[in-house]
Amino acid sequence: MLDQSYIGKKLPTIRYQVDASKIRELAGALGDDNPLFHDKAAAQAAGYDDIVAPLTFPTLFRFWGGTAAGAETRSLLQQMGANVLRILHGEEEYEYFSPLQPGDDISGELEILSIDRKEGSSGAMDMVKTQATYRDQNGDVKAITRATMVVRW
Amino acid sequence: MTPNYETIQVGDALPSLSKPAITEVQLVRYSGASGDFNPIHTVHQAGVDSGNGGVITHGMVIMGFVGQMITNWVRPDQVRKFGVRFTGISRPGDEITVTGKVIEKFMVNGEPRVRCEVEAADQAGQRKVKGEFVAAL
Repeated sequence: MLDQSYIGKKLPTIRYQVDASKIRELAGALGDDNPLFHDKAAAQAAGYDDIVAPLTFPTLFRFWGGTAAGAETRSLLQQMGANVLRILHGEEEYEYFSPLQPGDDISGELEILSIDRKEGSSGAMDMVKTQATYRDQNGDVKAITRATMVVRW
Repeated sequence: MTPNYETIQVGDALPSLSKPAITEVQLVRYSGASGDFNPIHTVHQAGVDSGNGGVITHGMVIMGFVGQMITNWVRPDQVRKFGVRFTGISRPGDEITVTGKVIEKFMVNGEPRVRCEVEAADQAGQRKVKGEFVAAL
């Protein structure tokens, strides 16, 4: 059983500075050679002022944007009592307001929305739903992410 | 070819994307890029201990492939929402194909939008993710 006292809790503020190298690194790892993610000149020719981030970039914030207090999702789930080898990703969802670009100084808080117990054919699972709203240095919302992590026992 | 709201029809297929086989090196690269260092994705013994028989792919790699397919079709700033459910595990060697189709045309505050369903499956037809996105056209 996960520690239910985490329901409704917000983690320490996540901070992340978007830069061109990380955008290229993520697109490269995916094998996505879209020039909008790699080449500033190509992005400018398409009407952007710099390269833009791939659609799944906001998920990096909760892994790389953690603090010493442990905002990283996996260490959080471990604090809550999960075995790291038994964690699966259930769902991931984004709402976008404008593309992420180099220079964006992102902050946001990850909130644990709910923990729901499910009895599956392979045993009990806890479904942990989280949400975070990420803003840039001007206070503008850039993206909202929602995720479901599945903790098996 | 930029999709056009007037001519696009519910049921139209989106251009599919076929990816080369996932490699173990790709999982190492993705771990470093994403910051997700769960050892079940990179350390063979951890994959065995997790009951998966070896390393498994980050679900987010497959979602990233779906994202690639979407931004091959529309510009990143046209995408309003994107969400998936992870329905199956992928392993190195899996060759993922992403497909999708238009399921709804609608207007929000005068902005024409389409809702599309997307899914990714391996060479055996095993589905890995299923989801939807909304794009402004």
